[in-house]
Amino acid sequence: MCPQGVRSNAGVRRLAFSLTRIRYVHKKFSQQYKATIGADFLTKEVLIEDRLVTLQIWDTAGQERFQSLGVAFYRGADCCVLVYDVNAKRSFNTLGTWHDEFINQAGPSDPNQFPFILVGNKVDLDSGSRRVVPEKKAKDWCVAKGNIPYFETSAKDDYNVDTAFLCIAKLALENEHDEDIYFHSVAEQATKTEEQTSGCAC
Amino acid sequence: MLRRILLMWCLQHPEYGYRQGMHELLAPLVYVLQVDIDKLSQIRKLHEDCFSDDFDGVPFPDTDMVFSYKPRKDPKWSSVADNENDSESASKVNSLDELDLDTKEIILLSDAYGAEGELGIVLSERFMEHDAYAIFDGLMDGGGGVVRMAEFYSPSSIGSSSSLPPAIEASSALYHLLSIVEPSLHNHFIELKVEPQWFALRWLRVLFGREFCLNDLLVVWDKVFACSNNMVLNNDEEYSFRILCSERGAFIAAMAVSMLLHVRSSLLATEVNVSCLQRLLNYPTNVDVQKLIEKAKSLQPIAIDANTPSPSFLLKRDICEYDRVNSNHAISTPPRTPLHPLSESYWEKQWRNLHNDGTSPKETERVHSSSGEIKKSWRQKLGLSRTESLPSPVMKVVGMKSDGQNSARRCLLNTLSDSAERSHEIAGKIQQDEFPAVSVHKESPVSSAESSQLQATGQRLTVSPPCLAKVSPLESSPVMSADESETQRAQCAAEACSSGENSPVFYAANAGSEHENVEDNDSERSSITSNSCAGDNDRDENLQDESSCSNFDGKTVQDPEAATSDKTAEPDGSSGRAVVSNERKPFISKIQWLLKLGRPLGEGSVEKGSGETSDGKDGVDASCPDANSSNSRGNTKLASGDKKVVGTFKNLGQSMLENIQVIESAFQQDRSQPGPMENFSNNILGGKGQVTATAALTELRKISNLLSEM
Repeated sequence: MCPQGVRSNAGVRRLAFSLTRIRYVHKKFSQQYKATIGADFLTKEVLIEDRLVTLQIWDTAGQERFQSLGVAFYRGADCCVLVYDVNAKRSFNTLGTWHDEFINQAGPSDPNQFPFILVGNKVDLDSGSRRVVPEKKAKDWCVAKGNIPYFETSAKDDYNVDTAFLCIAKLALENEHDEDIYFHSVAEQATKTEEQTSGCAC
Repeated sequence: MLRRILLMWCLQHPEYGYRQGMHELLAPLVYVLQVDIDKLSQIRKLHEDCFSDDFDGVPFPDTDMVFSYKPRKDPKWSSVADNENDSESASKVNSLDELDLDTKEIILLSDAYGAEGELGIVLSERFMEHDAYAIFDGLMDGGGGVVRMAEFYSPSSIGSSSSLPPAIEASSALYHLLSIVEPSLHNHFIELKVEPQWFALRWLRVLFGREFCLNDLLVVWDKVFACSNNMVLNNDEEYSFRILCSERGAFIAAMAVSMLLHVRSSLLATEVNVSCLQRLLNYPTNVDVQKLIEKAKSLQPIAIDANTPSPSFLLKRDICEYDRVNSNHAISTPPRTPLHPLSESYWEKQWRNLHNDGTSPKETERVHSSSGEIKKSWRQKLGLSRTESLPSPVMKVVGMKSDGQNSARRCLLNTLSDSAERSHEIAGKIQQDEFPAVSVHKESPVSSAESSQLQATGQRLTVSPPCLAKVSPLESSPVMSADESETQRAQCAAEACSSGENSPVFYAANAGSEHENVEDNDSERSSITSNSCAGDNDRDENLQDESSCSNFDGKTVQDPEAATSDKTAEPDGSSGRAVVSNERKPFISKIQWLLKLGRPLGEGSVEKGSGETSDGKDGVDASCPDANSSNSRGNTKLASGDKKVVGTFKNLGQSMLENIQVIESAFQQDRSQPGPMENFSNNILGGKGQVTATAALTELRKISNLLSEM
């Protein structure tokens, strides 16, 4: 049986994430991707330590405010993926808001331990010459938020995307193990066969 | 240009700003304008002379057109202009008449001097961007009406009664409507914890722009914009959902529900909310929009009605409550009695709304005349001898008239499939409530006397024309109050008919939606026809004894049998068999897909309490009168001393047997090849359903044996 997955939501630069996500799930990249309106849902199966895990990726548009999709959208997530555009300063600056708001809305049992992942996307753009957020800065931010993993990806070039998602899946699994141990109620949820990971991007 | 328009709009409406998706509302508008303008310039090229800007012999170059508006306001000028236009258009008539209508219209509409309709130039390349902006603004703002697209983008409500964001409120309105129209699907969503806004947000924001291809979208939009956006309620009236307060909003909600119904079966097959949502957000592209729109049109009045906390609302709750009660005490309480007064008036109301007071004799007559053909074929099909054809409020008759014969056949198929599905449900119900099949037996002799009376009353009703308008059961009794016993009978009849009325209609929603899922071709229409035919039948049932039996049976397990018995009852009963054999084939094929589909479907409803009970209620409901009617037939025939009655019974029993065999074989087939979609849990449930269905089948077999032995 697969473990209960938790969705991860995060969002900064939603389009960026959508592309990452699409790249990951469909193994293809399209320049003419339609902007997400409201929410989008995808599933992807990954093999982790001989276990087939289904990732449920819940994606929401960065323009959405939390209330527009309802709290239920964020509840039950196993992992939250925050994606920003390394070429857009603003997308990086709003990360904090998203982080806090997610904790607020999803109400994880242990906010400090809840797995987050930060993804800096679009590193391919103009060979990085337009980059405005240095890697160092992003990593510092991650450390400040409790050592959350950081990945730099390019959905267009398919750089690092798989690695990032694999990490997401593992984190979600680990988190679930912990909860299995400490919270009985979660064990019940674990009977569900799906693992969900939701990402929302801003 | 798109960018400019959007920018302008955002600057004009800083409270909304730009949100993803707005461009998808604007783009189709611009596209349509562009296409129109292209067409105009094409025609302009072809018919240069018709577009002459000559004014009093002085040519007005296109560039000066803007200024030509000013001087025209001068009274002296305008009078001259008018005269000039008159003569000009008179001289043009000859040449214009030679053109086809469309072209002519385009030319007239682009008359710079407003000869036609005083609109001046409607379409102009120079003002396309302006027009696009104005239209877009109108769309976003709703023209002061209820539905304002901009609100769907706004996180907070502006001037709305509820504190929810408008998009969320609209989404829940959608669910509300769905819960009325199709409770089982609604329950499925609730169970999977699928929140409406997760998909409806997109549907609403781009007004279905992502779900249909552009051509289809424009058709949908045409319908949407054709609906008035004005408040239908008075200010002091309460409402639950703002979006349902205008016809347009109601149509949008109805459209969304109709889209949900279209993919109903595949949605019910999903077990996880993500897969459900994925299905919703990747809406099938090969959809027949016309079907969806027709369905939405029929749902629209329900949507409006559902908005007010009116009696129908209460009734709905009552029905639900009744369902609960019924499921608990089905043994002790005869299912028929409490049900009818409630649901009957509920559906009565629905009917009235659907027909928009169209039940007034004149209108229905008109409708009737268009449907006359179908009815005729129906009559032939069922072998009914009708003394009088009656105005019947047929829902969407217009849709049917094109292929009368065909649709009649389809109706029959639908009723057949309905009946098959119902047998399924009877089975489930019988098993669940330990409602012994024997009790059906017991009950039937008692009520058979009643229903023979009923038949007599039916005859009476046919004779007395004033009753025609008073088909509604509640109203029919006072009219007949002259004779007490007669009144009672009338009530009996009314009851019987109402049971016919409520169940098929209720059912039609279910069955209809299923059909359209399975069959790609014309399925929507057939669902509607099944609806309308059901209505047709029910009305006639009031007034005609013969049809009261056969039509009613048409909706129950014994449809073919009923047809047979009808046929055989008539002087030359030889054709009875033929009917059965004719109908066997479609029946078999129908039942096969039905069983396949009905399985996950049935399970969906088994899992969900209320959906199931309402279905079950139908089933039991149907079963009793069914038995009654067949028995009553026997009674009357016996009374008349017709020798053929024995043969009728034999035929009836035999055809019943045949049909049971059909069902059984279909069952076995189905068992041998479990559907790929079914998973582990489904199989368990499926097994249960099969057991109950088989049990019911054996009971049916016993009955038919009895009958054929007579």
